[in-house]
Amino acid sequence: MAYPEQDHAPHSFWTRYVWSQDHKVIAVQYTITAIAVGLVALVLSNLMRLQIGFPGRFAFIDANHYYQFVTMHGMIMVIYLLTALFLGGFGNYLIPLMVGARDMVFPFLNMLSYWMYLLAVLVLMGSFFVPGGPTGAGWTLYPPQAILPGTPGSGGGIVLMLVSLAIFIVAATMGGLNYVTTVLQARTRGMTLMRLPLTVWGILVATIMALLAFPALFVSAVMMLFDRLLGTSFFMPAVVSMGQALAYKGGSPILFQHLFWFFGHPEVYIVALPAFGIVSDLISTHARKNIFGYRMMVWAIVIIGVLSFVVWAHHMYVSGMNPWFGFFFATTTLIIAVPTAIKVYNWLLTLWRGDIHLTVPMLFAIGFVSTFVIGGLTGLFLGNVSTDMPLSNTYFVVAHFHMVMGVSPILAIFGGIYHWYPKVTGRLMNDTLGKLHFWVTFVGSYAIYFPMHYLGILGMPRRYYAYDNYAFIPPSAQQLNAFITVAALIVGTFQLVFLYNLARSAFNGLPSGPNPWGSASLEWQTPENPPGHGNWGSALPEVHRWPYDYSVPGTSTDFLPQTSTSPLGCEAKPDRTAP
Amino acid sequence: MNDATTRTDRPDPDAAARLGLWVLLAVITVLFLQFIQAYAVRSGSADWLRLPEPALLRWNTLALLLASVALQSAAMRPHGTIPLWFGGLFGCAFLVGQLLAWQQLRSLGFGVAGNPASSFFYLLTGMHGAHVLGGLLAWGLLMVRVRVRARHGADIAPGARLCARYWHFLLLVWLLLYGVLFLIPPATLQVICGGS
Amino acid sequence: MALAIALIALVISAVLFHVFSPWWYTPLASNWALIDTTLSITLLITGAVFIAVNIFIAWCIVRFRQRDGHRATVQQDNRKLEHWLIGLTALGIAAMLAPGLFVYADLIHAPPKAAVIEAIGQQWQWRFRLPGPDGQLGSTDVRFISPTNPFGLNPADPRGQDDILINAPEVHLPVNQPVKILLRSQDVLHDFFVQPFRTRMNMVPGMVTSFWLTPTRTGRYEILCAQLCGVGHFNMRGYVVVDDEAAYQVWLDKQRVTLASATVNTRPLAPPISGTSPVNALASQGQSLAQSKGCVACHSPTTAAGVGPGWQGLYGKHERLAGGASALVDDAYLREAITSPNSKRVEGFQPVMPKIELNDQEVNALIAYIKSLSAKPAATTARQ
Ligand code: HEM
Ligand SMILES: [Cu+2]
Ligand SMILES: [Cu+2]
Repeated sequence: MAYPEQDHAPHSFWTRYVWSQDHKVIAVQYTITAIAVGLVALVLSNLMRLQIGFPGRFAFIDANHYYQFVTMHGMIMVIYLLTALFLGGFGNYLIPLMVGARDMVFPFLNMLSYWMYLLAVLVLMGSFFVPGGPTGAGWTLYPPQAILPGTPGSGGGIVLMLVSLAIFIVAATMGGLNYVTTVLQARTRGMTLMRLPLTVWGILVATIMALLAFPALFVSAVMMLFDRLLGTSFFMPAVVSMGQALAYKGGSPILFQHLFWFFGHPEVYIVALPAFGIVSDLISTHARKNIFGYRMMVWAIVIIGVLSFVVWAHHMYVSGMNPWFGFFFATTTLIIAVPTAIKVYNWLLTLWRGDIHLTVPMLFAIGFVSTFVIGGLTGLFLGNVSTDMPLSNTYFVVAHFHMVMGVSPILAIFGGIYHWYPKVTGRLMNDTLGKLHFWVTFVGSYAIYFPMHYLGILGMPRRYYAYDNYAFIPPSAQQLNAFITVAALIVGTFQLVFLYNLARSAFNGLPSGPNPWGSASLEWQTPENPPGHGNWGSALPEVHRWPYDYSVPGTSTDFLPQTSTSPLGCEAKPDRTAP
Repeated sequence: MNDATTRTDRPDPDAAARLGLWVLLAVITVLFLQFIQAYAVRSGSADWLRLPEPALLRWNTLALLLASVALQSAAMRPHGTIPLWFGGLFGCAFLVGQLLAWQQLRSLGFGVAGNPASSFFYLLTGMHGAHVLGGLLAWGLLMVRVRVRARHGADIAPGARLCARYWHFLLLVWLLLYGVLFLIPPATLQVICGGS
Repeated sequence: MALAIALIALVISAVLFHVFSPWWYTPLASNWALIDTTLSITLLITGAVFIAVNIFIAWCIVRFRQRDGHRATVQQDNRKLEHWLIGLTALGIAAMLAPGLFVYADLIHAPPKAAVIEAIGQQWQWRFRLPGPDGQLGSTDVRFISPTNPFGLNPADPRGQDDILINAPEVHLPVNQPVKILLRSQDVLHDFFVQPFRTRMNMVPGMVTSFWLTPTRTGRYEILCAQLCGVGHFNMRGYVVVDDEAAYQVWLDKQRVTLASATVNTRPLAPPISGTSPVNALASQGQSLAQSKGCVACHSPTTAAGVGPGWQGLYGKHERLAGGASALVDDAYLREAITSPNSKRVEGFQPVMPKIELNDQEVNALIAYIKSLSAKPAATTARQ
């Protein structure tokens, strides 16, 4: 709870940068930690690709390791990188600045959230060092397999994984309480909900979803821990494993899948909605034009958030659940495509008749739209229950979810980092390196994942360590896999350019000035750049308009900041009649 | 930066704390609903046995109820810490009682890994107990603050109100769990939860 | 500008890739042509949207890029346009969903006259069971599973006495006859996936799942496990052979005969797996056994370690055991390793090898096979 003591700026190095309660420092801590684990996951993915592209050539990647890499790669990317970076990183940094608050409303809890997150990461990394290594159960951790001896890491690995997830959920809940309460309680004067930038809307709804969805993961993790450590049979039926009859009896593996995907599907949107918001703001700012159909965009975010809680079993069409569910879940899944499509249309219509500045953030934003569209479209194959039959668990799925929740959110993150870096450091990132990074990542991602869909249609199953002697797979598929691996290695390597740029620009970047992109939204209107402790100097700003007043007719500048009192502007009003 | 200006443009800390607590309660509610959903699904399986009710549970329920009442009266009276003390005391009594109930059940031969009904009993009461423990932690912090603040004559009522609200919630959750574990027949529960 | 060109190039290469790709689904071998049709409809619609979106972006970039004196034209929104777009999207969605649900209704309703067979998954091998003359499968339970009763047949159930048990990863189906495949697993999740059939289902321990199809083309198809089932997942191979009526009868009769001779059926599989070819008949029998008993799921015939140690060069080698000791791999060592698995554990491997029911002769054959895999390297050493 906020007490006056905390308004005093911290003095020592420790309280300022380590045990900091300042949302900006915590955001940076979250971001750096997430990027660091993300790097681990990236290396793991390249190791997997080496095995797939050049099977057997790298002897140290045996089947055990391969499955451990798959699992850790997937889990780290989805949870510990993307979720943490969007909510803990972007959420923490941007929410108070964008709503005009001095900090999060519970700064201490916010600090605790980061340290819990770090603990979760350390526990997870610890599983690399226990006997038997990390779990190789796949990121979905399906029982009975996850806790039986035929799976690598079924000893300490799976236990640490589950414990780490539980800690992560506690951390995310602490952060989430803060983000929701701050948006709802700490907005400055004039900042109505319908004047929030879409970034805040995306993060807000994603946070609410996280708060409601993570408990399901928590429940499944705790129950699986019971099964693993105490011998209960929540998810475990009677089995004969490796010739041994085990003491389990009567449990339901499908129950786990329901719980997991009740969390898992919303999780996709927990990652996507902040990306939607960020990209909306980037496109609007860099096309110097208000976001098209703001209210529609807000409602689309909210509707997607709600609907995503009733589609989870589209991941279970072939799981053996009651087949009648298929009708319901296929229908809801395809319905969700409508609000999602609206978002895409509105991005396109924002570009239309804009004044498109092809800055690095804008490149990434457009890259996001392109990759998200292909990922979303292939989702229609998998969501429509009968077309999922031949495609489920093949490389088509791998290609689909990498496009829609791997590549596209990562592009949004990159765009966001290039865009807000000057806010955080007061310096611009190097433009040439940024463009190099964009081109390799964007083109490379297509080179990796576009052909991969075709391997899936051919029927190559995912999570295969090797494909020796399968007659239906032609040798050319192996050549294609080698090509994909090369592309993945190139893309992986070029992320070093980004890291270099990120680190070096902090000291050598060109000074950016207070508002390098001419952005109208509130975070660029702080009295100092980077903002000092408390963000707003002596008085909080007052907001008079929405954050999208670009190229307003009759003004000489091409944007009006949210704090401007000019009578002009074209804010979306509920009772608006003429366009 | 001077305290007077910053304090005025901070959001009302009490309102924020209230909202924060409501959000937290929503999250915990969802958590327990998920557990209950899992319970409902699993209780449909053939190996399900009904659990005998440990007699102690009624007394524990009473303890939790009294804790709630005590904290409520603390919240309504800004001064005097006696009811606060009672609130914590009854809370501890509840936890101890739950532990004893576990022991009773175990001595009857219902271990954690036995039949799924008893596994769920330990799981659900354990999760609830963990949240009670969290509540006691908050209560402890409040008591510390009472010590410190009392010297400045500050109002502890807002803190006590939050604490009381959380305990009422814990009581509600407990009653729900109690009902699910011992009162509602599994078949009814499955109808309610639409068990698959 | 570069981005506009890139997007257009992207669209063109995507289309070209699609047209010239040699990777596409395998020829259909079942009655589920409608799934392919739905897939094509979906591809058509989504492909059109993909092209349209990227071209539109490219066009915007060219037309509305930043230039001197150019200014964005403000527009709030456009209700009419948005309604049109929503309507069109809904229409497209319906065009995909409707045939999809239509097929699905068929997929989940096996015709009553469909023959019933059962496939059983175990880490990492397949087994099959066909009803005997009584036309019914007997009940089973994991409780009954033992080395002598790998199917877990209920000994008290008379319907199971005549069931045809196929303890090998290959099953035959008659062409043009609907068949409902019941699926069971004794340990973890598996998935019965034959790509040319298009349909499939998970195998879940503790329950019986199923799917149905009518095979329409004779041939030999690979069964893949398509649900991660542990470290041998990628090697869990099986075959389904679609026969014409006559060939099917021949096969079926052979299964009955083997059944009558009261041993659990283990037959050699058609293609020998790659690796060093065995030198004599015993070793060759061992090779078939290695496949039919599922050894190859974990042991490769090369030096590469899988779940268990690779077999090439194993014989005559000193294995380091967990705990620091070492042991010479000779006949006695192999016999013990096969007949009482996990009594000694090789360093770096998990004690997960199942006990497999084998008679002495079969053990000898396996040992001969493993030996044969080390013959060549040994010979080279000798020459040196
Ligand atoms: C250069 C970037 C990346 C490459 C080369 C890559 C590669 C791979 C590969 C080879 C697999 C295993 C496929 C299989 O055997 O089934 C995989 C799985 C996966 N990846 Fe990535 N990936 C990348 C980035 C990402 C990102 C950004 C995400 C974030 C969502 C992600 C999420 C996943 C997930 C969830 C899995 C599934 C894990 C499982 O099957 O349990 N990947 N990736
Ligand atoms: Cu989903
Ligand atoms: Cu498998």
